[in-house]
Formats: sequence, C-alpha cells, structure tokens
Amino acid sequence: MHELSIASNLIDIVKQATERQEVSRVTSLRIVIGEMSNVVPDCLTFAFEVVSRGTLAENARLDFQKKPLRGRCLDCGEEFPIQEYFFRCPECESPKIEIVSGREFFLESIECE
Amino acid sequence: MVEIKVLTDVLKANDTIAEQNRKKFRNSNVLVLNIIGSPGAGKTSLLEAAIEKLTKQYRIGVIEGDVATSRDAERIARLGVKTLQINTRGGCHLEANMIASALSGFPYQDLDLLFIENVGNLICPAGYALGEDAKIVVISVPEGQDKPAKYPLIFRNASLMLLNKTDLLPHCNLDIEAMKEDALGVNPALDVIGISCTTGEGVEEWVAWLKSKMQQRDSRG
Repeated sequence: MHELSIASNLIDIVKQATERQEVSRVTSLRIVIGEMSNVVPDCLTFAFEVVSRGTLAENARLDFQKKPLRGRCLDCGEEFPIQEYFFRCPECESPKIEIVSGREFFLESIECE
Repeated sequence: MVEIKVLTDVLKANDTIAEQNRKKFRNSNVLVLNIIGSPGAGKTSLLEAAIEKLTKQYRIGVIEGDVATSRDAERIARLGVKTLQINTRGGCHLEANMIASALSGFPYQDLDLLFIENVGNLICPAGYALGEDAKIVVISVPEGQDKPAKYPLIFRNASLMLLNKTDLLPHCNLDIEAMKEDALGVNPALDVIGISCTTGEGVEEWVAWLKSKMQQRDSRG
C-alpha cells in the first residue's frame, strides 16, 4: 500500500524537476530500485497511473533499473552478492557487513517532450 | 525528446522531515523508539508492561499509530502517561510528517522517553524514518518462525527483536533457534528477547534493555 504514497512523492519530484523547463509532457521516468528497497515495481506502476492523472506525467512509462543486494566485509574488505539476505562474509565469515548496493530508491532521470 | 537528470531519492521528503524531528528530539534529550510489528503481535501490551516498570523513573510518552480508533491510546493513557493517537485512515505506516504535525500539540519536550507505536505492519514502516533513535521489531510466537527470513528489511534496521507470547511455545510448532539464526543472519547486531506479558517471562530483560538505552541517552548529553 505504501506504493501510493511513493507515487505521490514521484509526482512531486517530477513537478520540481520540470518547473523551470518548457515541458508539455513527461513520457518516461527512469527509477533505480534496490533489491532491498521494499518497493514492488508492479504496485508502483499501478499507483502511479492513478496518481499521475491530470499531471504532466499522465501516461508516462516507468522504467526500473534494478540493483542487486551487495555487501562489503568491514573486516577483510571482500565485496560480494548477498544471497537470501544472509549478511555474512563468504571469505572470513565476519558478520560485519555494510550494504554497498541494493537499498537504492531514486529517480534517476525523466524524458520529456 | 529531452532528458532531465533528476537523481533524487524518492523518500527524501520523508527523510528530511525525519531529520528535523530527530533534531527536535535531540535538543530536548528525548529517547525515541519506533515500535514495529504485525497487528496482534502484542506491541501495546509490551509497552504497558514496560511503562508500569519505568514510569516512576522516567517521564514517558506514547504516540499511537493505527488505521482507526483510539483504543490503544486509551489503554496507554490509563497508565497515566502522555498519549497521542494518530489515525492514518487507511495508511499502512506512519510517516515523518505525521509525527511532525503531532508534535506541535504534544509536550515531547517534557519527556525522557517517547515510544511511537507504528501501524501494525512488518513491511511499509521499515522504510520510513520518523526521527527515532532505534527501531524495535515485535513478533509473536503464533506468527511462525519464518518472519525474519520473509521480511528482512525490518529485521536489518531494528536494534531489538522482541519475540512475544513465549507462553504459547508449547502449543506452536516454532523452532526458536532457527528463527534467531535467520534474524541474526540478516542483522548480526540484533538483540533478541523472548517475552510473555501473560507469565511475565522476559519482562525484566525488556525493561533492562530500555534502561541501558536510557543510560546511553544520558551519556550522550
């Protein structure tokens, strides 16, 4: 359900980004979305269709670039894909892992006419 | 066709307000804990148990988030602590701006400890900072042992997992060790306390955990 509130955020960001530009229509949004961002692209697409009605971004397409979850070991420096959300270094078994990608959720760019 | 680079975090609006809330809390030296768990996990009961033990020592307040009704706030208010109910009217989680507007009419400056009980949900609240010092995730024995594996983000972001209703263990097919292994796999720094508001098991440990957080608050000055 929080996809609806996220869709409203997207519309606000699009409005700000197009404020000083001569834009008649936004045709697509490029969204970077991490594996561990808790956002479901299909739900967001549906919510966006509803929320964008009557705005510049009505009928705009959402393109998702997905980022897999990757971690770095704070003990040995190994960088590795985190499988099944198991935060343990495959080299030295340390549990001290920082997430290097997979938590992203940002609007990278928009295409306009 | 024109491309405009935006590079804006979609939840930035929320994070900005959460940061403002955090500053307000810090300036008044209030410790803020965001309590997250499924509906019926026992969040309010665990707060009642803690408040009864801590209310003489600390000035406590509670903000209750629910889709509807003020039933939880009424339960907590009976304990004599400052209480405020937020109704999200369908919203599945609290957002930082709801807390910000609630604060204008809520004397948080006079508190040592503020609990924010989020809307019952393991998914959406995990992604929305409110300005808290720590998140506490509550799950209960009848929910089954797979919760940490199925809803990893909240377990990754929480500081404490309260496994509630341990008195029901004899009736449920739940392997506590396997569950802890999943939870610690996602977050090795997670504290875990088994607790039952019915038998009182674990309540002292829960209260001790809260006191240790209060001591950390006192030493941060």
